Amino acid sequence: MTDSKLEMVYEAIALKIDDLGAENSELFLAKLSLLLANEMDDLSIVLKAIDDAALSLDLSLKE
Amino acid sequence: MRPAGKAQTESLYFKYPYFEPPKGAERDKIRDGVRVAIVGAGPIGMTVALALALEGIQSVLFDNKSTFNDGSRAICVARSSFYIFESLGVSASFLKKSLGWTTGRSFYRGKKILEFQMPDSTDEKFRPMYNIQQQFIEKFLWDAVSANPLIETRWQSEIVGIENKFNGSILNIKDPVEIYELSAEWVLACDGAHSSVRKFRGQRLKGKNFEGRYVIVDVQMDHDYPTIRRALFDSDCRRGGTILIHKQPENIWRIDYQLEDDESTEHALDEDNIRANVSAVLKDIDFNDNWELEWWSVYSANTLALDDYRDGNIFFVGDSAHIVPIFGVRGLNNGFADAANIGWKLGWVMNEKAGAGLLDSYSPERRGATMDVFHNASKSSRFMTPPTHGWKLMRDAALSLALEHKFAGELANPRQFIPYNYSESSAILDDRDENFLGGPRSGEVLPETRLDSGYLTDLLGKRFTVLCFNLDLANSLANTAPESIFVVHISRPSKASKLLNAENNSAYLVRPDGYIAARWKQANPDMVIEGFFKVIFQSRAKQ
Repeated sequence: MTDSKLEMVYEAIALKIDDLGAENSELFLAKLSLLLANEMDDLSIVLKAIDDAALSLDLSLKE
Repeated sequence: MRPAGKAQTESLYFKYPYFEPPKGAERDKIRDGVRVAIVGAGPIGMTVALALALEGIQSVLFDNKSTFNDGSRAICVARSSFYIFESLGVSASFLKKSLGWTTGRSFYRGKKILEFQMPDSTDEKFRPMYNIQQQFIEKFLWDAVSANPLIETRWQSEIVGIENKFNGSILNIKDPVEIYELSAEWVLACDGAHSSVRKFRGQRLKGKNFEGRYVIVDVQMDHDYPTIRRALFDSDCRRGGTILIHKQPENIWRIDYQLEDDESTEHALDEDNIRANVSAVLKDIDFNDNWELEWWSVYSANTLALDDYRDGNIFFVGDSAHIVPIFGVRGLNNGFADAANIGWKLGWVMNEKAGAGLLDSYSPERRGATMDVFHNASKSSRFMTPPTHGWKLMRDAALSLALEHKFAGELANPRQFIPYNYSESSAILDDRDENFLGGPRSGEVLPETRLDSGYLTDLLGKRFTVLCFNLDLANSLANTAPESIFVVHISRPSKASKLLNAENNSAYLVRPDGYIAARWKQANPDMVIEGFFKVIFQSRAKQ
């Protein structure tokens, strides 16, 4: 995916989360993950993405 | 529990019998030692007694009640259990009464998100699942037990102590007259989840309790819906909860609904609450007619089992050995499989047709099956009653997606009922023949197929059966094999030979319980006979 396309995805997700409100964002992101995973043939890419997404979540607390 | 004003066994559709305790001439021989004592005359105890009688073994059943069970309420009987009923000669009454089904439907907020079919075809003799009340199950088994001269039943006779001796057990039995002692060579503990034999022996079930609690209610109503299992997720009447609906004979419907964490069990069991909750469920499925309340109870999902189902000469069978969650519908079905398994093995050992080592294969085979249920049921439970925030979020995501996307609905599909495979058992030969390019492996159940007349399994005898595909091999085996092997010749090529990937000299050795003990792509009589002696733990010279 090109940089400009990824930027479009980035914006679309940000706008949708704001649109849906904080109370719905968690369920929305879980659904989005399942939908995207369903398009993937390679399980290892999905499992690696799950691990990668879990990294550095508490960056601001560490300093 | 039953509605206020009703007696404990006052049912809308079933007349509970009353069984007398032993008396009169029967009491004279009450202290005579017995070879096999079966504790508990529920469905499992009766099945074991019938399985032993099939091998010509006498047994005595003991039960502390004076009628059938009113506490446990299994309703789903699987295909595998119908094979057991058939071997015991009782399948006709079950087939006549029960409701066969193949389809399940799941709904999310009232909208259908999944319809699944359990494997079925015209090659199958029985449907994958049948619904029938446990009272009828017990009645049909009792009809056979009470007619069998090899089985004696002592009702109102409670086990109040048991002591293991070198060559058997001493049981203390309390009936309305007295407490008496009785010796038994073998004891089969079929006394359910609260087994007193287990308690007296100091044995403990191990495992865990799941969080989810369900109320189960039977109601009678004229509801026009086919025998299809319905699962309602997050419906209007129970946001966040799960509801299961099953049709049973006699216009009885089983409704299971999940309790919320802050809902007390006591409150949930109150009759007014039961009525209010059932009304809400029925409104959700657009049933607006009259209904009558039959019975209700509460249930929580557990996965508990004994470490070993054998304790010297005592075998634990059914719920006394394991408690499984309802979602896999394998509580009673696994109990039947336990009963059939120990039934033929103990019968063969007592008749000296098999070595004592065969009995040690009971616990690994059947405990393995329980562990398999735990694994599958845990998955099912996690979807039905998500235990943590993570499981709940992903479950809700799947359900929400399923409204528009079929793939997500499949995540709600419960695991199919595939009989556990005994390939690791000492009573099964390793499936080493690499020349087989297909067909069932040793340790699996012989698959079914329709033949020109009848089904493949109709060919099996109650002994070990060798399936041969060459007349010379069949004749030669019939002349040299011990009596306890039954030889069957199947023509080739045929549907059955293709299903079994059989060549001219191939052979399958099938156990009395329908499991494949061994198979050979190129067999000779010697190999088959040697394999047979190995799986029955007997040396060849002995017969």
